[in-house]
Amino acid sequence: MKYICQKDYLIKLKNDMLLQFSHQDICMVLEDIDQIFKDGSKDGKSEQEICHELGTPTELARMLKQDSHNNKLKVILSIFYILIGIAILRLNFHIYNTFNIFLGCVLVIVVPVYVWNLCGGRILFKLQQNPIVFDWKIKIMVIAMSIFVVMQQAVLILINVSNEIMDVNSKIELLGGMFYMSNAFLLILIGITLYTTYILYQGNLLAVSMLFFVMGGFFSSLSYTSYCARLDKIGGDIYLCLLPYILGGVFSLCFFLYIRKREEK
Amino acid sequence: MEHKIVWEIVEFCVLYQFLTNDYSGYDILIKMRTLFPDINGGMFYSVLRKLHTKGFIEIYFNSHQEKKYKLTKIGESHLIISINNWRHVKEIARKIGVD
Repeated sequence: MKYICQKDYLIKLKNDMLLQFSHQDICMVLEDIDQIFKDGSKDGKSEQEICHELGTPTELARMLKQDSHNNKLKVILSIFYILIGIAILRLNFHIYNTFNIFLGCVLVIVVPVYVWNLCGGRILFKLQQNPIVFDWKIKIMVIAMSIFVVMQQAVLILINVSNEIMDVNSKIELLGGMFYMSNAFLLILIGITLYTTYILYQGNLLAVSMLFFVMGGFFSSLSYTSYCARLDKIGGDIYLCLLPYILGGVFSLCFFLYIRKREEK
Repeated sequence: MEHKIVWEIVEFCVLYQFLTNDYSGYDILIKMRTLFPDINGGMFYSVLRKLHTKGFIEIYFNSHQEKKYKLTKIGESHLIISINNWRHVKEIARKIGVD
């Protein structure tokens, strides 16, 4: 594979070094390689020529690994954290019978930060090689998610407003609709999460912002489905399910503004 | 084994460069690439990092804020031993008829 530019090379090197080296080591190596590119450019060499001089990122990572401590602990810890996360979720359902919204709020923040760290987000920040790419795929994802949120909330408002007018059967039908709609949305969100993680891994920092938004949608929808599954629990507090949405949205916006400000500097 | 010998030779050559001057990572890459055109350039950077980890070379930033490496006292002592070893190997090779 040929690397046409410095950014591709550095991102590939970061990915090859992830989980095998400490973040500090990766940052140091990437800064050095970045410097080599800068010096080469002063020397009149093209990025492609320097890539050729350095050899492939995979080969470079392999050579560096020979003298580095293997960071298998990180992989084991990652699996351990994921298992603990699943156990907490399971326990939460067992105790409350519904998905606890406040736990959802915590996860809205924890999951993106964890994924960001796992994909080398801190390194990408340090590199400052990644201008914000608000590409059409992200735009479509944001618009589609926003439309769904509006639809979900419209159904909810309809259920609550027409409480007096509607008969029980229509209400159950509407709730059932919302239940299936939210479940389908959950599946789509899993797909979006995987895709967003992939683009973050490929060096698009904006994906972190998207991840906050996606997680907000994920945990809110999870709350809605668990509420709708238990008809007797439907009451005024169903609006609390909105909390992960709001939190995810706020964090998403803050992060977006933060990286934009950083880029301007 | 073959790889280990190559690594040792490259390590010696890189360290030897610092005897006369201070260099940046890029300088070393270019110098070594002309000496060893068949070796992957990444190896020279790996060697540089290894020498730094061992404490044989140290980093400093010059007046232009460029990152440079220079030989340390430990590196110098190690280099003297390596040069003596190298001469010894050369002598043995000469004795058995290798030019």
